Amino acid sequence: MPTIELVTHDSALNAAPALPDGDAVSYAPTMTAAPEDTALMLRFGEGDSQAFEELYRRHNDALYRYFLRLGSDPATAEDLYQEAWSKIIRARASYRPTAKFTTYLYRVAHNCFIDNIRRNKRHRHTAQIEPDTQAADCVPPEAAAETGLARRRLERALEDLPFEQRDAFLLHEEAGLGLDDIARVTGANREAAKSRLRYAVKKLRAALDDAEDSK
Amino acid sequence: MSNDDTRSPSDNSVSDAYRAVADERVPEALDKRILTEARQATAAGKGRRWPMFRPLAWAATIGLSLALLLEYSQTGLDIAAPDPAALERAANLEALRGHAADGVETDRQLDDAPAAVVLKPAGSTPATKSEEHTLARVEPRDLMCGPAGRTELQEAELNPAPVAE
Repeated sequence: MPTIELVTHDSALNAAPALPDGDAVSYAPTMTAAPEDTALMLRFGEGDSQAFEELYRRHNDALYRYFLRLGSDPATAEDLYQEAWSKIIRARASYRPTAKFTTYLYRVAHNCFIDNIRRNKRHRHTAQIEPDTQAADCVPPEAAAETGLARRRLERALEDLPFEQRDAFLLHEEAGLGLDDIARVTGANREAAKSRLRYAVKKLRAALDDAEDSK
Repeated sequence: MSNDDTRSPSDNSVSDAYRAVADERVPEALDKRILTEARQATAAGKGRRWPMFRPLAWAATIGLSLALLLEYSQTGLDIAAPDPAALERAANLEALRGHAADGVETDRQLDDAPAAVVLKPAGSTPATKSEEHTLARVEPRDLMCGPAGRTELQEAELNPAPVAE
């Protein structure tokens, strides 16, 4: 399906240096490594549940952390996480690869979060991460304490960010989205996304530097 | 992560710090719930068997179209080569009709008359043009509703006179 390949590599082609006409074949080897997300989603749309499982395993933890750190308590994060995947599952037949799958997934997730804020009107700003969701079960106590401190520091710094900046930062870190895709997910223009991400990084770096100085 | 122009080398420290602490995983129960939902959705989708029916529907449509095309092409050939005897009979019929047209109301005129006018009850005054036009739009069955709307002929058929012995 050549059209899918072209769409799938849309962002890669945009990011790559300009090539003479006909050199797009140079990017073909990237397809041989593993099926693209969009190809997996299309296969899932045709009824292949194994394709969905593979796709899900690629994105599950990052999407969960996105909800968790965006400002939800763990229970709400789980609900929103399930809601987002349910929407993806329900929309499998009508899915069209007009953008990267990650952009599509996080746009759905972002909208779920916004809808939840509108539903509840009361947005719990603080992310309360329960100890059982941590993956530090086998870490020595000293290291765990240090990681716990760093985690709390970073969480506090993230909490202090305005929602839009936190959203942009998490889309960049967890989803690996570039500025164009962040803008697409959040419905902002590219300059706004760039500004939000820059401010977020600047504030987080300042917070981390302060923490280092206070040691 | 990505190489945007917004990231200076020192920004990697923020990214690294975030990576170091962002290690939460999805609870297994939640994973299972979602994967089960996906499997059930695909199983329900397979029950519909749309992928099988679609080509069949196309084949049926094309077959039917071809059959109709063949049918019409054969009919067209028949019209193109009419029977000479039938042509002669038609010419004779036309000539007879031409003679009948003088002074006599032709079949054609009778055929063109509205059916409703013919069904008008006997003894009533002749219908005006506007009445005829209105009656022509009325279904004949609407006029057959009661005794008032019956013609003499219909009345005689419905109530035959007793036969004298």
